Amino acid sequence: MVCARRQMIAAAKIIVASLPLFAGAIAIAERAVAQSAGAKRSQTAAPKNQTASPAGSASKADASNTATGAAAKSKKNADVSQAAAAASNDKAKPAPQLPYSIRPYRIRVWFDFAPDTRLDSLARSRLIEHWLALVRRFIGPPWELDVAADSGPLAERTFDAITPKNIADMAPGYDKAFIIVVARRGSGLGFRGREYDATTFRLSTPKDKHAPFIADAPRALFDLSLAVFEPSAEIGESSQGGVTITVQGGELPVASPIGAFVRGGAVFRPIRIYLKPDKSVLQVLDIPYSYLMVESIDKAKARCMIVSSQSDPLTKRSAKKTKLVALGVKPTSNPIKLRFLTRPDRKPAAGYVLTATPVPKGKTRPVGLTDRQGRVEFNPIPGQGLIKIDLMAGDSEPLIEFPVMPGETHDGRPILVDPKSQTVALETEINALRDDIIDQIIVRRRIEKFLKAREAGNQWDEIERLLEEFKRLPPKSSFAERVAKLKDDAKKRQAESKKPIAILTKNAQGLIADTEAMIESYLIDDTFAAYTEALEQRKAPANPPGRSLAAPAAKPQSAAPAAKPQPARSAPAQPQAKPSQPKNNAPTVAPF
Amino acid sequence: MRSRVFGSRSLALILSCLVVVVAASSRRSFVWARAARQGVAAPKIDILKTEPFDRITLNDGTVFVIEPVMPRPLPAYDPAVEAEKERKRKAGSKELGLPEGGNVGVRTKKKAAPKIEDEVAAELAIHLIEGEQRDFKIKRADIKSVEYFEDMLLDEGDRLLRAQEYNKAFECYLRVRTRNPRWKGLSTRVDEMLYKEGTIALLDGDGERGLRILRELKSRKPNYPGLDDALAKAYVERIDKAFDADAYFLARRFLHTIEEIVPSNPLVIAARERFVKLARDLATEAAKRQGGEKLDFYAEALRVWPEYESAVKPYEDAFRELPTLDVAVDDLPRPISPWLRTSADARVSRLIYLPLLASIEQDSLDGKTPGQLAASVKTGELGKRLIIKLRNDIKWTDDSRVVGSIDVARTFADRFDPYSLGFQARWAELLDRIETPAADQIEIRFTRPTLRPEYHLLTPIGPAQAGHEGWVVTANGRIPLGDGPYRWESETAEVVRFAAVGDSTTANAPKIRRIREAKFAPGALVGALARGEVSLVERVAHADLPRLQADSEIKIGAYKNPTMHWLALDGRNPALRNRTLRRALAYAIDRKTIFEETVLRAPMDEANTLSDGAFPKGNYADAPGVRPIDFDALLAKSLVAGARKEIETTAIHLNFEYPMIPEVEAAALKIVAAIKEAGIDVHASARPLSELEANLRSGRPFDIAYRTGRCVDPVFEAGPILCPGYDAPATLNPLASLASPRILQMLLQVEQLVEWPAARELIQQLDREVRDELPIIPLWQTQDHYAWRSRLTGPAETADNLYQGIETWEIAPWFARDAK
Repeated sequence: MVCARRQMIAAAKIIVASLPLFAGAIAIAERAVAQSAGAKRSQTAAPKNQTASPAGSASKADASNTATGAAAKSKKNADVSQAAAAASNDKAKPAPQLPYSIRPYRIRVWFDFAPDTRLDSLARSRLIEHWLALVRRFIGPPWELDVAADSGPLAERTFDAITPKNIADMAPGYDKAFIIVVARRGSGLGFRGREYDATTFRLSTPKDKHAPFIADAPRALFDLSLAVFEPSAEIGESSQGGVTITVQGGELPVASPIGAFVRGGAVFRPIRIYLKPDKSVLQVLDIPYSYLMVESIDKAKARCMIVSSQSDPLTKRSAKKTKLVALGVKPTSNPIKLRFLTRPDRKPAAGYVLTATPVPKGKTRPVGLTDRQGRVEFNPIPGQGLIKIDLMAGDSEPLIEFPVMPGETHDGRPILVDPKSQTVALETEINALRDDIIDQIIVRRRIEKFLKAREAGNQWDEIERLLEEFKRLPPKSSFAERVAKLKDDAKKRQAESKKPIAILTKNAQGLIADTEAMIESYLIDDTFAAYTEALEQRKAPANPPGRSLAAPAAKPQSAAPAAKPQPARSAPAQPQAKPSQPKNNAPTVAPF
Repeated sequence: MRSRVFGSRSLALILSCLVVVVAASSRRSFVWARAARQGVAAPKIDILKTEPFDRITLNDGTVFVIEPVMPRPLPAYDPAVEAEKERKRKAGSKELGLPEGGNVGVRTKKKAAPKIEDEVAAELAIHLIEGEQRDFKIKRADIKSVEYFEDMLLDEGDRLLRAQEYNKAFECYLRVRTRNPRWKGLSTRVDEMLYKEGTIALLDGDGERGLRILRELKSRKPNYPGLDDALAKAYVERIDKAFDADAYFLARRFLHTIEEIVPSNPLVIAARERFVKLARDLATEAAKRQGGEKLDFYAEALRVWPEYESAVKPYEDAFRELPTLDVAVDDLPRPISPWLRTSADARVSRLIYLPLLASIEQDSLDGKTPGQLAASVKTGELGKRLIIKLRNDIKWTDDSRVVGSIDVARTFADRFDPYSLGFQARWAELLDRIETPAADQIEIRFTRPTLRPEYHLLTPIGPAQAGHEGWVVTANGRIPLGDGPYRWESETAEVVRFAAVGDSTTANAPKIRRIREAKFAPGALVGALARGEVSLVERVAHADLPRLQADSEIKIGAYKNPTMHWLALDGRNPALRNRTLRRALAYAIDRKTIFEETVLRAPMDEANTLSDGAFPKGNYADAPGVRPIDFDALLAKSLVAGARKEIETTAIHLNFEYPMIPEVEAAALKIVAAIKEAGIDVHASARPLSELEANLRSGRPFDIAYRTGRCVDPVFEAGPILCPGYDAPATLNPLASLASPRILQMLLQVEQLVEWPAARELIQQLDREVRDELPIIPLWQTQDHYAWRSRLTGPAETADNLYQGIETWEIAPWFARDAK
């Protein structure tokens, strides 16, 4: 009895565990039936498309807008519908609300084949069939694809002219939509696609793939769909500098590791959805300059690092009801275009160097220079993911720092930066002072070497001459005074300013501290004092008998340990750690 | 009787003993002499280095090497004659009744001996070179021959002469002359040596040396056989060579020189005739021509042979009809166009193009200044709009039409087009649109207010129908059509010709009807002026100023604005982006020494001095109290070593380009040497001035470039000075060539300013910071000069540019005659 009960419980568990699979399978079957019915309907709907297209052709410059083109289009639509007869449906039935983590993505797909592809209906249907087969083989349950019979929004608009609203109207009930155009490219085919996300009403940046040979087309199309697809997630609680997100469909088994849509290092863009009291969507806003980078993943739960230029991008402090979601984002090879204007006069921030650093870590490299309009455009390194951009004023003062995913355009809005004119002027003066200090260090080092050599040769007249030369050099105190004056003047200006401005930024303070440390560490007079004393003792009149010269005490020591020429990175007065150190950190004084 | 016999016997005994002793003691000499007799090779001696010696051969064949005998040469000795003399001498003494040996204590008044001939010593005292016993006496009668050291030298000299080792042969002869200037055979041999050496030098192509030697021979021995012909032939060859190279002045100089030496030589006469014939032919051809060609042919005839009197008057008449100004320049503009990219463009454009605005002074804005197209310029909308009205009376030089708004619009549109030669990035960023509401009115709108928008109107205007390079197709071919006082006439690789527009009777027409700019080799400009080949020179090197100042027929003027010299650095090279390396470059160059010793060849003064930045001293942008970086070679080396560590490289290689101007070349090579000394590998290359500047301004990459230029208005000119490609299209990322981001940001901020005080303050701050940021390496500033011959009247003592006021200049006909 007990065994039977256990068996029943085990069976029940299996059944429950299999429910999502059954539900998914049932949904697929239902959809298949509906699509086959829709295929018949779409054939009768072709004339409608034909008449509709001229009215909507204002925005379409394509030749297919002509009557001849429209006829070809309707024939194309019929071909597509035939090809997708087994699996397409005009309108998805609302799927049961499964838990988010096991909820597959319901994806509507529209294709538009350009006439120059020279693919007949059979070829197109085979292409789509093969593609679907690849999807099933490598992705499996997480994707529920619904290939439309027609080309949907592409019927009336060009690919680049499609807006989220166009798609939203045509794909209710779906989580996402793929819009894919196929055209001839060389001897093969070119695929261009983008994704529409229904939750966030976002249209992704276009992605391109190329099939150099027709036979490779299904695989290229599959690659495109993988590139285009952006997983959705719900943002959970933030903790310890990171946040946990729940990825939709994350617990669904993927048919193959190739189809895994979230891996370590994947990047999500957080989006804030403002809700109405009835929980409908009021507004959807991107959280600017913020990304979530997956550090670890456990089924549908992904632990993410917050990469943002804001201090608290995922704040829940809002007067309205909000919901935080995340949308996966992938890099493209499109150039990154940015524009910077200075605050408050909104003049172009011209001539500033832009640097990029891979996130989470990597080597910083200059990637561009803003032009007279404040614009800069650069191509990301192929395969490179999220990067951190810094706009630098002068040599080392960062004006703004923010993450960017290659390929994103940020709406083309200019980014306002504070030019920090006074800080940069201050740093320029400090750099000039550091140059003088380095020169002094080198000259002193040289004199020290000569002193040692002359001492070895007992050439005290030469030693006297060298010490005279040393006395003519600016004293250490003069440099210290200059640094102090610069610092005090900056503080004074900062305090007297009507508007709060930070002249002594972290970078500037670090530079000042580094300079002070350089003075303390390298401009040491002990050696010269010792030689001076020794010289004086030699010059002093002969001592009466019984007294001996304090030779050991007067013996000039070799360079004091403190004067050891080590880089200033180990200097004692280093300020608190700052991520970007001043570039002129240490005098790399070469032994001479 | 007994005493005489005794005496005779004693003497014979003594002599025989002496001979024995000599024979016994000179064994070693005998060895050598025996060796010589036996034909064994004597040890070789360097006759030039050895101590003098003679060689004496006795009758029996014995040879002695002895110290030189005296007197030299020994007088001739004939035993019979000498015996007779001896006999007479003895006879004389017998008559006197005196004993042979004399009587001791007997003082007898001597009677005068009968006169006998001069006596030659019968014996010769010799001193051997080697041996224990070296002093001997030999009877002259026993001497067969004496080989003197001088003769040995002469023989050796002959041998060397045959071997064409003239220097050593000369040394041999010189040694003889030192010992005995009148030695027999010396003079003849020297003459022969000079003749052979001179002729061989001529054959070997060393004409200068050959002629010098033959001239020396001529002065020694005017009648040396064959000398005249050799000289004449050599000179005529040189004359022909210079003649064929059109260097007639030089050819005539050779001719006059040889005519002084051998005036009646047929070759020389033929050479002269060649000049005369060519001059005659040219004059004949000139008579058939008209206008400028006629003048050119007559001028050429007189250039070939100034003494061709038949051409003088026709030349002067032709010249008065068409006064022509010949100008010597460093470089010619290529191509001539309305776009100013180089100093040559700026110089020539004033001749054939009128600017829209002559200056930004109010008179110009009101149209009161001549030499501009604008009748009035008004600004509006806080400097965002310019309304320009054009004058209606200026035509293009082909008389096709009046210069109109479409021409101005085309020029400004070209400056906006990145594919145009006239593109200017600043203008492209500034320009919003151009409207031409009327044929004589243009409206320009800017994207934002700008400081002194009129500055952008100081540009030559080209025709709207011009092609890509600014030239227009006409019935006479493609020409750079202009609207200035002159029009382009023709050009070759070395010469550009301009002709005055309209005829000479037109009011305000230039009196100088033709201008010919000729490009000379670097360093040859002043020579051309001195020779009279040109009447005006664009630039005079500082070292040549004293020479020209001493010539009463030459006047010197100075350009008002100093010329700045600096090294441009390309920050697109990561090495030059390194601040430490730039500082090392600045410390490595001993500017003061190079400037004074190589450029000025005189101490510095107020006008010619080291510069502390990009702007000239005294200019409003020159910040006071900026201390230029001193020379410190050791510090430079240390900084280079430090820079290598910072850049993480073991060696730094840079290219250094400089223009082909003599003063600059000399200084540039010294700078390169200094940089190499600091530890940087530098490869230097020279370029024509205009080519280098045009390339740099196009934004192409470089490493280090020596640049020169004048800076009048730093607020507008600082950008192109500090960054050569400042106005170039963005394709080559030219702004990144500014090695200091800070300076670039400041320059771009200056562009954005709309108020003059703020711009002035910022530009001064920029001047201060240039000293430390070192986007360029400042060198020095010079006051440059131009010079002209007094037959040209009109050039001022100071001018902004070379052709300032050329409309009022006059020139008298003149050609260079050879100095008598």
